[in-house]
Amino acid sequence: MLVERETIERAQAGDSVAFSEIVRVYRKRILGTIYRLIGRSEDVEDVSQEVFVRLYYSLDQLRSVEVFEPWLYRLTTNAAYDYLRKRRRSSNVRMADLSEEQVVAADAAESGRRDDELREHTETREFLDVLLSEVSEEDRILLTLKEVQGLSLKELSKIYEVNENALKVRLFRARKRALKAHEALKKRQPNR
Amino acid sequence: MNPNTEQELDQLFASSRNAFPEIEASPNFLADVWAKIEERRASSWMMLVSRWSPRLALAGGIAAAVITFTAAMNSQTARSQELLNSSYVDVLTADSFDAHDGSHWFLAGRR
Repeated sequence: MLVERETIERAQAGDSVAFSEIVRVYRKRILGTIYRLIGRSEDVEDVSQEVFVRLYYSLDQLRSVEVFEPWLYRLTTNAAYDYLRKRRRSSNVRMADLSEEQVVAADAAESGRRDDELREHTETREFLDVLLSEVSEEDRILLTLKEVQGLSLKELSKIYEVNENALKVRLFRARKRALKAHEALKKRQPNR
Repeated sequence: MNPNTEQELDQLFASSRNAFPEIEASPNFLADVWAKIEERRASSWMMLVSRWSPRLALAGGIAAAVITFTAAMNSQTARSQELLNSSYVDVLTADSFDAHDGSHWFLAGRR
């Protein structure tokens, strides 16, 4: 755990200094996870802040300090899930819809190895975002945590509160749906 | 399923692991979190009030109706009590007075 259990207990008791300490320590990790889950840098900070607001209002529901991290991950995936659902409703996930960062990257990618790498990364993120927007939010989150974030089955089973076998089944099905979406995308964009 | 697709998906996931640069929090990150916490607190209080106000209005209406009904019942009971307490002669006199508009008593008095 990145913080002392005492800090969490103090935050649970309403100590704002302890809560601020938790935010300071975990913000980088949450920002990274949210970025991978939602795929858009411009909304990462907003969604991450939402995670901490939810954390503040639900800290009293945390049964044991030992499960703080999986529990924080659960809050993170829930916030990402709500964001993705809202985004799907407004249906603004399309290849043509370039983020600010992508526009800057596209401008910068005129020459040089670093620019090429940057462009490659941008394209990968962009394609991953398009592919994962073709599957459900649940599948997207599970696949991202496992395949992109690199969490183990053990870590995932703590977050999802299910046993590893059940998780394997879920992952298998999610992967199958992602493969189907990938094939469909390839038909639409044969140059990928 | 095409085995190439499986391989491509694995490749995509593998290259995605390094494709996300680290994001630094803005200097106002913590301050913004606290501002949102306060904002949520205020809006949840407002929500509580707005959620309860129709119920409070309904309860007020019901209470007013009950009070009005009770007052009406009390006044009716008082009137029936008055009628029950008067003697047979009183009631007969009142009836007779009402029937003749009191005029024959007046004439009888004059004679």
